[in-house]
Parts: sequence; structure tokens; C-alpha cells
Amino acid sequence: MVFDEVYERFRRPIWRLARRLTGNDDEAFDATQEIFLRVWRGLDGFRGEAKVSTWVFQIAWNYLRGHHRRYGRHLNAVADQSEELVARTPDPSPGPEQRAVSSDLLDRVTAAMDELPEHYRVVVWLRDGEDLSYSEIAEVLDLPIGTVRSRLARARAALKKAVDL
Amino acid sequence: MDESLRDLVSRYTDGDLDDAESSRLEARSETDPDLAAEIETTRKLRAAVRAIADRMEPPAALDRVMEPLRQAPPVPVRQARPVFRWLGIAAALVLGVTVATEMARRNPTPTMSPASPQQNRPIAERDEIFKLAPLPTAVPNDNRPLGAADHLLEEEPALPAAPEPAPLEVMGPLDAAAPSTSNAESISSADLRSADEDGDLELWQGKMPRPAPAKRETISRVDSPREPGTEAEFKRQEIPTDGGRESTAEPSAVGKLSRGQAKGRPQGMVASVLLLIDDTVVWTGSSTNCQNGRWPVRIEVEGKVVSAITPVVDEGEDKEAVSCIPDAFIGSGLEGVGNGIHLGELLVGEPPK
Repeated sequence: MVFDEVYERFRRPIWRLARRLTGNDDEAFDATQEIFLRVWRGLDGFRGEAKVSTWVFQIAWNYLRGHHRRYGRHLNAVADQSEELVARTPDPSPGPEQRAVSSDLLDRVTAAMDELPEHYRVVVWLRDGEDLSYSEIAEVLDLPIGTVRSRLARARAALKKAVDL
Repeated sequence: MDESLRDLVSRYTDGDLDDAESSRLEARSETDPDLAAEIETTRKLRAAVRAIADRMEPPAALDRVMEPLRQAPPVPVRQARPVFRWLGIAAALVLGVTVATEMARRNPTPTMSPASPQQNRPIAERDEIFKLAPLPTAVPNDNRPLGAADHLLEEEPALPAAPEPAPLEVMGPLDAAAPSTSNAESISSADLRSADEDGDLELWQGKMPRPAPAKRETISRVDSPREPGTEAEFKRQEIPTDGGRESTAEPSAVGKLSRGQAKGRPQGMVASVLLLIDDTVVWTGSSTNCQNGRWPVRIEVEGKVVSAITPVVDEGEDKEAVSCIPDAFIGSGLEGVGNGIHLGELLVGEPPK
């Protein structure tokens, strides 16, 4: 497998994931470079036991998750109870005045997603943003598939509440 | 809404329900407006997230930064780190002792039997047995922070000391592009001892394992305006860091740079680094690997570990955009020049005063 092909195929998904999980362009830029450097290093050792996409996303998640832990940014305590999650998720929906200025659904969803705890955010993003299957997400995040299902449902509920859908 | 029903809706919109479950949910939604609304809003949310993804484009600078890596040949997988080799041998020994003990316990009658064929083998041949112990392999998506050299060192037990190496040889300048002020100068063992006495080595010697000697390689030693330099023979050790790997691959880009000069521009806040010795990539990393002024790379000179790669960008408005200056060179320093994702050659300078 040639690195260039992998890069071409995943440059956008990895950038997007990094951007969503780091919360800003500069950190996403650095993180994307680092992730592809790791992909390059590991390419010779890739034996095809997993799909390339799963493998690349695994590397990305391992880096990005550690990144947040190390730098403590956007790190929120993750509660597994959905009610706690919903209750703790800040409501970014604008007030009456702001609503007129920023009524765009995408902006609201983006803002709400950035406030989600990262373990929920990543599940939503991999499923809805990158169209990974439940089993692929489970493999990338090293979680039971049932946990993926429940986190996804909780995260969506939190987002819908936050954006007033 | 009931949590289990909410989960079903989530799975339904993902196509994760079987036909029977889907049919039941659809039938119920026809008479349950809340359920129908839940399905609709979930679909709308999914579409919104997808639309957000669709409008996200990586900056064009990313492609430029990645270009050298895209053109680089693949790097062979490095061998297991020394600590793993020792752990493998230790594990084999423990296993062997355990099996022998267990066998002795089950058959306690000592007998003076003739030597087994195994015992009659030459020692060198029997030693091969230990080489069969499986060794761990590197995991590419290791989650440990790459730059935490000290952290890595704390994890590794000390290894047997390396034999006393031969003195360094003075070879004269190798780099034609080096500043004309170059002076030939040898690194003496006394210099290294002096550095040691100054406490520079304390940090490293206290924590660093001492790997067995590796092949000797030459690295150009070039002076800088403030530090005259020479060429000196270096002994490259395996680079036992998370981010490090040995390689014999040709570098994708090799510049001829001296201290204070750089070509190109760094991108973002990261200067990716290729550590080159004799045009051979021996380590790759980035400025994010640099922590507390140190890079997780080890080079040994005369049995002393030296470490320092300093990506100094000093050109125009990018001056000192990236800097990772080691707080102490040990015996001798290595200095590289970060430049986007490719790098100029390493320079070796005198220890800072």
C-alpha cells in the first residue's frame, strides 16, 4: 500500500475528525500532520487484518484522544447516564436576539457538537459525518457495539435538545 | 421519550434494525406523532452533521506540508526495542526455570543419566534456543505521548553497560556547503568526562538504559558562527522511543543547511523532523515530540548518550517560528533544522557554555 494513496483517500476525513475533536484549525492542522506521520510509519506493518479505513481512524483516534488528555482541552467528564449528559450539555441555542442573527441549523449543530464530551462527539461524527458502520466505529474506538449504539442514541438526543430540534 | 424507544429510533435511522423491527416501528409511528417527530428530527440531525462534514475542507497548506512524506519511500519496520529484547530473554528464562522446577517436582528422583542430545550441543547452538523467544512488535497507533522522553526512560529498566568505545577520529569537514569558518576539532573522552562532571550527563545516565554498541556511522560535524566544529565519528544506537525507528531508507529530502539557516517555511506550529545520519533516515518525528527542550532521540558518542535536535527556523518572517533547544547538550549536540516536513542535515556543535 502506498502512503500517497492513503493520504489522498483520508486527508479530508482525518482533517475533519481532527478539527471536530480539537476544536480549532491550528491544532487540527498539527494533529493531522502527526496522524499521517504515524500512518506513514506504520504502513509497512499494516497487514490488512483490518480495513484501511478502520486502521487509519484508529491511529487518528488514539492520537486525538491522547491529545486531549495531554492538553486538557475540551475534556469533559463523561457520564454514561443519558440524562446527566443531556443536563450537562450547554444549550448553545441562541436567545431571541441571537436567533435572528444566527438561525442556521448547521451552525447550531456545530456549536452543540463541540460541547459534547468527546467520547460522544466522536461516535456521532464517525457515524453521521464519516458514515462508518456501527461495527467499524466499535473497532476504531475499541468499544462493544452495544456501547456504540447507546452512546450514539444519547449523543443524538443531547444534540437535538441543544439545538432545539 | 422512553430511552429504549429513542435507541430504536436512532438505530432505525441508521438502518440497523432488521425488517421486522423496522416494520413494527413504522407502523407505530403512524399512530404516534411523537415517535414520528422523533424519527424526523433524528434524520434531520443526521443530515445536518453530514452537511457540516461536506463543507469542511483541509487547508491547502496541509498538502504542501505532506508533500515530502507522500514522495518518501516506505520505511522498514524497526526491530524491537532493546528493552523488549531483554524482556523477551528474561521471559524465556523465567519460563525455562518454571518448567524445569515443575518437572523436577513431578519427577523428584534424581538420576545420573547420560547427557541428552540437547546437552551435547555446542553452547553456541544451544544459545539459539533463547533467540526463539517471541519478541513484542511495535504498535503503530501506540497512544503514549511521543515526545515524553523522560517518561519513556522511566519505563525502561537499565541495560548492561556498553563496552568502552574507541576514541573518536578526526576526519575533517565533510560538508562542502558548510561555512568556510569550519575548524577541525576532535571530541575527546576528557571533554565528555568534563561534561559528565558538570552534571550534564546526570539526567541521562541516571535514567537511560545503555544499549549494546551498534555499528559506527559518521556524521558531519560542522561549525557554526559561534561554535567551531569538526567532523566526528558517531556511533548510532538504536533509537528506542515511541516515535523513533531505525531505517535504512533514503530520505525524501536532504538539505545542506547550517545553523541559523533554513529553506522553506514551517507550516502551522509543527516542524516535522527527519533525523539523518549519512543520508539515512534514522528517526522521524515532529516538533510535538520535543518536550522540555529534548527530543526522544538518542545518539551515543564514546559510550555517552547525546541528544539534541533543534529545529531552528531563522529565515525572514519565519524566524524562530519553531524552536526546540535542548537545555543541555551532552558532550556534543546534534542540531537539525526544521523546515516543514523535510529537514536539513544534522549539525553537531559544541556543548553550550
